[in-house]
Amino acid sequence: MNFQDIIFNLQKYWAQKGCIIKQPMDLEKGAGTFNPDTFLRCLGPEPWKVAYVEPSRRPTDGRYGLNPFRTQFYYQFQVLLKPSPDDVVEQYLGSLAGLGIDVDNHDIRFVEDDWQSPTIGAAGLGWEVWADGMEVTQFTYFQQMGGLQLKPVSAELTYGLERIAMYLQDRDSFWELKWNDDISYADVHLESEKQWSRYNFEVADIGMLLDLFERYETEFARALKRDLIFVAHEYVLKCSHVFNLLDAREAISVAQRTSYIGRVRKLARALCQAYIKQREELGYPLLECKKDSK
Amino acid sequence: MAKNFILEIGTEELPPSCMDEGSAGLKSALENNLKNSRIKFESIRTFVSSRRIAAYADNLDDFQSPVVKTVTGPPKSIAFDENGEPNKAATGFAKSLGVQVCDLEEIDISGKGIYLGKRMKEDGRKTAELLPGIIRDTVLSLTFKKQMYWGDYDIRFARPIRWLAAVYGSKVIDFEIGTVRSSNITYGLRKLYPEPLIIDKAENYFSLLKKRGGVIASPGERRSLILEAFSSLENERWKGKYHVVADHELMDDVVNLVENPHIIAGRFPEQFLYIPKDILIEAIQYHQKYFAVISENGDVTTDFIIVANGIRDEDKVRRGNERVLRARLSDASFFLEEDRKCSFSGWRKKLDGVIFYSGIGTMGDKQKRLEKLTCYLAGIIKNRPDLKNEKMLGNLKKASSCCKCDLVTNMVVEFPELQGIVGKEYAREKGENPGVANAIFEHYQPRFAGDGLPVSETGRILSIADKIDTITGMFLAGNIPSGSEDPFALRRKASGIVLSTLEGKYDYELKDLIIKASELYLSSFDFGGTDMGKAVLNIMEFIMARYRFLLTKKGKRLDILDAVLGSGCSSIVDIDKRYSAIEKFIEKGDINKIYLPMFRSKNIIAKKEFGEVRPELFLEKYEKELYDALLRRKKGIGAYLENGKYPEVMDALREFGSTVDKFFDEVLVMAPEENLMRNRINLVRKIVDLYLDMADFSKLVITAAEE
Repeated sequence: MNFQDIIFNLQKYWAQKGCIIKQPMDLEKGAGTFNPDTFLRCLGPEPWKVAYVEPSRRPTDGRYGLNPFRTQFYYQFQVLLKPSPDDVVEQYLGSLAGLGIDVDNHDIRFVEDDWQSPTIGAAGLGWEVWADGMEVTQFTYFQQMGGLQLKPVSAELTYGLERIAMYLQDRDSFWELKWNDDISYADVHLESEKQWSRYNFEVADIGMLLDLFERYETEFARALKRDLIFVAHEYVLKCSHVFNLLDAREAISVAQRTSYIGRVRKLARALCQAYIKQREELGYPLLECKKDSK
Repeated sequence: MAKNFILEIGTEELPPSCMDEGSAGLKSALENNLKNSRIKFESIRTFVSSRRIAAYADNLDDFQSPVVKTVTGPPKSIAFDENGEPNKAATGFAKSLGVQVCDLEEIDISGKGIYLGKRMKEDGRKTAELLPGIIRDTVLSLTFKKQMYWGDYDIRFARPIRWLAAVYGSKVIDFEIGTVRSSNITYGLRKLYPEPLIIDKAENYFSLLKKRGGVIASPGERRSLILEAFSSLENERWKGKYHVVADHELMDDVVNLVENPHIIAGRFPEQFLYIPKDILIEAIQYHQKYFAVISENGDVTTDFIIVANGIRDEDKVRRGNERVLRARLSDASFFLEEDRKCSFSGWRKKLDGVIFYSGIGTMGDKQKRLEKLTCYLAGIIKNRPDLKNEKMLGNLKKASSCCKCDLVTNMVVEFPELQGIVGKEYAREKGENPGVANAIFEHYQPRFAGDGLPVSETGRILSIADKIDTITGMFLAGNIPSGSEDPFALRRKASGIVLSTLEGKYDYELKDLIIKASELYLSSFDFGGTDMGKAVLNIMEFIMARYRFLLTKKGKRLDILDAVLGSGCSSIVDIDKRYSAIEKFIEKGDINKIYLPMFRSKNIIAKKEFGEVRPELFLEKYEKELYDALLRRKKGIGAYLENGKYPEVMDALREFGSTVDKFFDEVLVMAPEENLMRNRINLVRKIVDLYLDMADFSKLVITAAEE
């Protein structure tokens, strides 16, 4: 199965399960969790079901394209099911079958892996899912976001698309993956991976980044003050990404590092509280919609 | 009549770490709740596998045990009129119970007097009726260190509860938790046996699960199956030449990760065998939970073992896992190559970027403190010139300047459990001498309960210094272990200090080492108003508490330790020597000849202190004699103490005891003349001080046999 077919299949499968299929967000971020469809929608009482591809950036993971499966840019396929359905595991296993992973004849294992992101005050319990030993998905029941306890609890499924493709295509490296019949993953991403690795580690202008962090932080506060939640959210993401770049440039001392993480977490917390308040003021429109459809 | 009972809590895949907790918790909660409900049973056993926690009760009685309840009414004194006829109070009470007044009994309530009342036998209710409530309470009372919410429910558990099966005899016990309703249905392996299985009778649960669900509910049975499969591979496939490295922790995990262990042997390419042995084994075990296989001479082979969970197609699963291990090993090999490009000095710089603990700086700071602390420690160990020679100090300096470096290597970032092992391998590769390389590994020991201690002197000194540094730092930063909370394993570290010190027979003042460690922190960090003297004492006590714990484990007496500590001695080795001398002396049965005179002396002075003894005030023969004996003994005992000759000290103190006794028998300490009394008390104080130089014997707990 080609790389792009994996995405098609997952989209089709989760659409059938009632998820809206969204397109990636147009902003740099470390994981699909940062997308407002997860970050914000997991908060409060309203239900939400969504699936989307998320291009993810982790500057410190760059290896100049030399490592077979460690890159500063990769794709996640993210599913958020809120509240987590009673048959969520069965639904998930169904999605693997949809990818042509013959779950009956393979050893599918749920191995404890609890997840935390101190930067955004998020925590969850769950597993990494193995197919014959290969980690193919991160499966998490969200317990906290922005330091706030969540109710209802969402199930977050994060498929590592390249790893699944390695498994399905029997390859030992991202770069050998077939995107379609003619074009490989390397054709699409290898050159940019090399350039971004160089940029992240060697070139990025530290002075500019330090300055940007301050400005984004200020702009966050301006937006939040005017109840522009979705705008404020993007500035949290921008701060977080700039911080990651500074980290890759080794431009942040230890003491500063803790303080930067603390600053981002503070923004995330304020944002989550404001979002919950706003949804409440709006009268939780999605709760109504759920009642109507019943 | 009695029937068997099975309760199964069906869950999503439980983490191995919570399984013992769940199994033990269920057993004790169910036992308690049944006992409290007066329902008798023969035994309760619990079982746990990744998708279920189950309890099986043998012969659970059909009914609660009957109970006799006493109902009390009015006091007898007000229940009868002057003619002895029952009044309204009595008749009303009898009526409320549906009996005649003559059926009532007199109940003597102590302290209150005689009351009218009746002992009524209450028959037990049916177990089947009580079980729903009991089970609900039991399940909801279970707690886990890590628990979670799911969906929109208010229940917390280790992982979501997806079904509940409860069968008493052949009857379904009906109850609900959240939206899950109990039934007699259980489930086997997810994919191989997807059909619901009906438990017709409680006693058929295990065979049903095994035969028609492919699930082995008992962890012990799963473990034996795995071990049997290992030995048959060893004997048949490898003809006794290869052996599985059956790591304990890994085995515990694997037993609980599968419900139906299926052992598959796989292979990886020879090209990876160049990776150092310990790193290679860890790469095989750590992420993937495979078992490594070694040859007769201890080398890692290209075979490895996968424990899969009840599968159909062995070939497919083997191929998949082989690919994953290949990828893991090429990862490890990539890290090895990358690390080989770096140097210890580069890593040292990187340590400045790794936080040790918030408020007490980085691992780089720690590394620098260790260089000073190890040399200081080597310097204060008495009678050991061999620890102070140039070669030794050279090794110590080297090892303590780079023992934490491997924390920032690619390899340890990927395989954290390899800390120390990677450091040792890399030091060896970079041409460090074996003394330094081994010390880097050894300084982490003991890494877990029952782990070995450092063997080399360098490793031992470094290990003690590192642990003192960590404990001191954490205490200063206010991160002090309490109850079961000890995230930095400070207790194990403290035990390590005691054990290594004894093992190396390192005679040094622990207090001085702690003070030095604190000073090293104080020169770089600000701890606000922390009372340093108190902090040092707290750390000292914390470590001594571990010594105490170790003695208890050996069944040794703690009062002897308290006595020794009363001397103010803070060298663990010295404490140990004094301890054995006193212990041996007690065995001889003579301890009262030391204990009693000291005890008497101590009682007399009771914290009084008036200054120096003035011999010119002596009137009595025996006080003069005591004083002379004291001066004589002080000299002799002082010399013995100096040389650690504690049995001799004990003998001298015993002899001295008779002089003390004479004094007390013949001389009135509390003389009416103030100046005489004061002088005598001062003299007794000197006596106490002499005993205290060895130990505070008054802290001994003297048993009848010793008296």
